[in-house]
Amino acid sequence: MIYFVIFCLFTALTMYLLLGGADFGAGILELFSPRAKRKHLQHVTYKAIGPIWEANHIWLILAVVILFVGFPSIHALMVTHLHIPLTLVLIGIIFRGTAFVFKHYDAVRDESQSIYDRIFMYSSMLTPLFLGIAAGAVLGGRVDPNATDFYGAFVAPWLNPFAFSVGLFTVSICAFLAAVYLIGENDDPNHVTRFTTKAKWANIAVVGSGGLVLLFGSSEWRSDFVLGLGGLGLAVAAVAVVLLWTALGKKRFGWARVVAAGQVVAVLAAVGGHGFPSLAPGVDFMDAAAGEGTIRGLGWALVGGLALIGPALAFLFKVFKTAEAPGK
Amino acid sequence: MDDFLAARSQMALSLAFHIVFACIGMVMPFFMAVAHYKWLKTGEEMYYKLARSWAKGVAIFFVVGAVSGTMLSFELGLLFPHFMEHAGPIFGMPFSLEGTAFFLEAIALGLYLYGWKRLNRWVHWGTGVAVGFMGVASGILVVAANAWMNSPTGFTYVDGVYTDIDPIAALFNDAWFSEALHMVIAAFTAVGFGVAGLHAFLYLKGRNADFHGRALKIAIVFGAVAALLQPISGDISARDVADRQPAKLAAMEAHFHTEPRADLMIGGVPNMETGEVNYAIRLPGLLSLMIHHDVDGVVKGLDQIPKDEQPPVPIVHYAFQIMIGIGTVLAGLAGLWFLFTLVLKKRPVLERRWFIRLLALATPLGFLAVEAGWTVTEVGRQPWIIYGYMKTADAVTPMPGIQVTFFFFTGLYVFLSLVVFWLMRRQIRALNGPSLNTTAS
Repeated sequence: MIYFVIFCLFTALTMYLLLGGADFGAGILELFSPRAKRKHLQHVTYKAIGPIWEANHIWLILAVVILFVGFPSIHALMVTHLHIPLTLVLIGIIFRGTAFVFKHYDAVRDESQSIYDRIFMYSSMLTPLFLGIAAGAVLGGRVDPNATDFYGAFVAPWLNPFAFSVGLFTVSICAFLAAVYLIGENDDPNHVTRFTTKAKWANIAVVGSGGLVLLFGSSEWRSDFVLGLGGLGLAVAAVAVVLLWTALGKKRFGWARVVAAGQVVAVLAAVGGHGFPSLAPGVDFMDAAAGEGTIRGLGWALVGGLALIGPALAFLFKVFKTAEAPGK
Repeated sequence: MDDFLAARSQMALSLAFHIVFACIGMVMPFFMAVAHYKWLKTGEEMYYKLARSWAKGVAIFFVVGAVSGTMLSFELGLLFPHFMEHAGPIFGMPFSLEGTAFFLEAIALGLYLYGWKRLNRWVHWGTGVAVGFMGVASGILVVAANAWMNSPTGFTYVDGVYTDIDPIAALFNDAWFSEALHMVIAAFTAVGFGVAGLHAFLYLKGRNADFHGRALKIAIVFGAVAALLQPISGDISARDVADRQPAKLAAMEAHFHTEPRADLMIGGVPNMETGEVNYAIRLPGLLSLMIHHDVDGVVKGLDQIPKDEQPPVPIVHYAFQIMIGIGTVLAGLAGLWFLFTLVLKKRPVLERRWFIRLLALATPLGFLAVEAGWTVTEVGRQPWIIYGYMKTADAVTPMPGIQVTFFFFTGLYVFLSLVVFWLMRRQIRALNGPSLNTTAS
């Protein structure tokens, strides 16, 4: 049952990155788009994610719940020492959600729209950046439960190049996923070309920031990662890059989506799996696991929950993803 | 402001902010569904307009509720990590189930808001109803988690270690039913009177009277039924609290001396030094009667509770009195509503403008009662975070500087409240009058 629960945790995080991450990515793309092109981007984005964006972000709550129920000491470690980056994540979530809905449900279209836009764009970048930084702090093994001073306990774990490069990596992945998904939402070939270019640049950003992650990691982590499952993950991702550019070249956008998602899954699997059950120095799933009764209860609750959520989510996607939009 | 107080204040403010939006998210979908149903059955355009308008309100309030709820799920850990480390595995079951309910609610909302043209009309209506039911379900479940904090079960506590955890026993703790019942009814009362009151106010202004009149009539029924049921639920809760958390009950009633034939006090200013209550209206023996159904029943007073286990009495007492006072007023208005619509039917209730004016004035009262009630139960549980097992002071984060986040989030909540208020005004203006830039529905 413990393996199933861990699997659910990774699935929740993966789904959050693939779906919620793409939402953030749309806002990040807006941030890096020239003003003239933003309106079109917003239009395409809203058409694509309007009905589903609420649901996309609940994966994060699911992940947090699994963590504090099933692996309470890891959760406690993170919320104590990574208080600052996690607070910034929350600020981003609050501003982003409210800006998005205010923008679309305000009864009046006036100058307030541009305020909503700006808040939406910046907060879309803030949350994935600091989620990545928080993840980087954990993965880098920098969280020190024995630190006695403020800096050592609450700042040093995340204010370092490795954590920041993981943050940038996360931001790039979000932008990348959004760009690839959105290509197929356009009818006009000019737009298709523009979005394809965005996707390519985003992919380069992903590879580049991924390189930074490897660069800034400690040498033991690096050799550990690359020689183990990480190396396999990197190989798969490298092959996927080739496949992706091929698919984009051949205008097979449905395939591009699958490949892009596959890349992300491969990276996450490698990161999560390479030291399994240890996620990072001092962070071990088996050590941190709650008692048997809890894990069993959690496992069954997840079975029941996912059995309901899965079909419901599939139905939601089916209703809104079929119908008008051409070219998947 | 010290860190501990800052942490508690931040948590309290986040909860106080969230609960308003959560209540609306739980209840308004039902109003929306009723209006929608009436449209499907009668074909009257007015009901379609009402359903669409209410749906917009639901969308805005739902999102603010969702993001503030996400905030809370993190804040539990950020502010009280020691609590979560031990309590997480025990009361996680209601949280996991709540997550599922909430997920389904979000999916249903997406289908409802965007599926007008894409779904079969009755399936589409069904998604709106589903939003309501899932909202209520998630509300019940999250309250069950809070109930566990008041009535901790499902574990064995030995030398600071919580073992033999039984998540199902924790979920079905002794307090879950009374708390969940009281909260659900409270939400319906607050939102029923809140929405009805707003439409009453707009009805009196004269524009779109038919629209607002119909809206009022749908919302008030929910609120009125709930307001009349709430005293029964309150009685169940109070007797339960007297049994399980006598300190909380003593603080609520400002009951200092353990005694039989305890007086029920209305109002009153408790004097913590002398252990007396001044300026209260005393009803002899009524407290014992209500708690034990026996005038000679002994009600435990603060004198039997060690000082360091007593909650802040004045806050709990005033909050309790406010809640009951408002509840009584709303029950009175509810009674009048049914009197005017079921008995004295000859005159249309909407023509009794003085009464409609009262409804308009009553708009915020239900929400005030909800805040007061939560103050009673949360402050009344202090100094415990897990009643009888863990003190709040031992659960708080070791990170200093919480004043910073407290002031920041206070500012943020005030800002968001103002923005939502401003947005609602724009919605209402656009609804009521000609406007140059209205978006198409």
